[in-house]
Amino acid sequence: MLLLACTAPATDGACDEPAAVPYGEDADCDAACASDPDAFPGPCAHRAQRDAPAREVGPGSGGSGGSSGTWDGVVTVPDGDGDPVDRHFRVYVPESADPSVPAGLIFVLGGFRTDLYGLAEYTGMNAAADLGGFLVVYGEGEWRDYTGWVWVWYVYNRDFDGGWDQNPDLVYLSTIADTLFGLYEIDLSRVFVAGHSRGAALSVIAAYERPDLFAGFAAQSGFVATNGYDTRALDLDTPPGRAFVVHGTDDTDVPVEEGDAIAALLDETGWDYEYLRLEGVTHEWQPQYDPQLWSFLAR
Amino acid sequence: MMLLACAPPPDTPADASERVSVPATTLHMGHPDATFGAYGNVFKENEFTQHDVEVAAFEIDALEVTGERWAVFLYAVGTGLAGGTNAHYHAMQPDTGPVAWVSWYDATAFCAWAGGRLPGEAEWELAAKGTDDRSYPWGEDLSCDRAAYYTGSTWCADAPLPGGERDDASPYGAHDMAGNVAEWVADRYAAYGEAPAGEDRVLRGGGFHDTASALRTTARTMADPLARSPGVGFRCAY
Repeated sequence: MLLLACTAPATDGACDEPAAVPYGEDADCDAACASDPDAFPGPCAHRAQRDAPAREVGPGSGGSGGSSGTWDGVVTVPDGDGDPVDRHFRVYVPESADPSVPAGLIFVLGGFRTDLYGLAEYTGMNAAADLGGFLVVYGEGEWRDYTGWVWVWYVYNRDFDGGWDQNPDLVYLSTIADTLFGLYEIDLSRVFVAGHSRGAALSVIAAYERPDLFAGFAAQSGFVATNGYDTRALDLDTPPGRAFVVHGTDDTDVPVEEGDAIAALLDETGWDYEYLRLEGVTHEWQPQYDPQLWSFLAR
Repeated sequence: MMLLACAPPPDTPADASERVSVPATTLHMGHPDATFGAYGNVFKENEFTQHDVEVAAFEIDALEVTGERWAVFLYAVGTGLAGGTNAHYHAMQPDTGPVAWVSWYDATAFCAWAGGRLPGEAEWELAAKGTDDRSYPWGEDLSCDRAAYYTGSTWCADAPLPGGERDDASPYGAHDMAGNVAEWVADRYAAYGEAPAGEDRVLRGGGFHDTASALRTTARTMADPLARSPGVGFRCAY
């Protein structure tokens, strides 16, 4: 009796999952879902997930032994004058990052007034990392007397010795990356840099100067023209990457025309990018787009 | 195992789940204030423009779907459910707490098995805030006594908590609609007034890793329907 009850019905023109047979076992559901993916929500959801292509993964860095959760670190790197300085960072490793599979990595850089310890709350990126299974590094510029004491990224070439490619912040970022590459299995094809305001300006510089490290960038309320970096970027042979740009039309700190200038640079240099030019939005990171940001960059 | 898999769904916690009724009404969907401050916004631009949506009467789970209900589901539908290879999948939750690590597809399959469906985004917002514009299901004040979330300096809880144990009821009596686990809803994500352009599905309510802003009744974000997270679960509508 029970065995009969468990026999999957012959193809009878009706999708009988899951009441009569387990998900995935009724050929009638195959046909129904192929013609209309919304025809039978449960059976069609099962098939969509079962048949989804595996996530593409690039070469791994080979690291192991890093812990999950949040931890803080420090690196000693040159400052703008070439003198050594201790600079801090915070790492978030979600439980969803499988240690045996290369995971993506994104640097998140704040603006003038956001230290690295407030960035997880401000950007909401930890929750996106939970969903996407990627690692996050929160960094901050040097604490300097600039326009008052603030966290300052080196986004003006006049602020440090040497050319654009000798930017001390690039040494800071790459030193952290090297540390993480040794501790985790990082997908070397999916390392990105994102920032807000001045941190966004640095993310553009980092992506154009170090394409060997960064596959792309995200810039929210950022700039590229004020500091003249757009001219520099046009002279580079940086291979096109991916970029995600967010800027509000009511941003009074960094006008939206700076976001437009980033988009123009991306056009001229052939990058694949998404630009959210948000009506009425001011000088704020928009965390609701974090999952979309990651999906676009890492696809 | 196979015998049970082929039997009709038993009298399970899914069938016996506590539900609340939401009467038909007009929902003022979205955030009412379209003015952004220069700094410190607690609302986001994708919650605009507020618009009216006619919602038919429905029922919705009073609590997020628990690990216990999920286990019964897995037992009933068999191991053929496409669960992926994530080692955390359905294994990390206390039975009485909400299931997490579930994709949108998992959630849809569960609700169909349970005789329901994922709530529409408008249904979810109505169940959370009722017909006024309260920030959180219970009103305006947020604390760890009301919800599990990230305060900015600490987490209220290390993992999602069993439901119904906090003073957090929505106007219709639903619990944990702010924090604990963010919840999948049926809809593809789109800006209000626009058609969906991709496969991402909407997430509502925020989870225990999310900050206060994400917990508001009008806050919305999106994710790949295949994504799984320790902070994402769901509830069903009927």
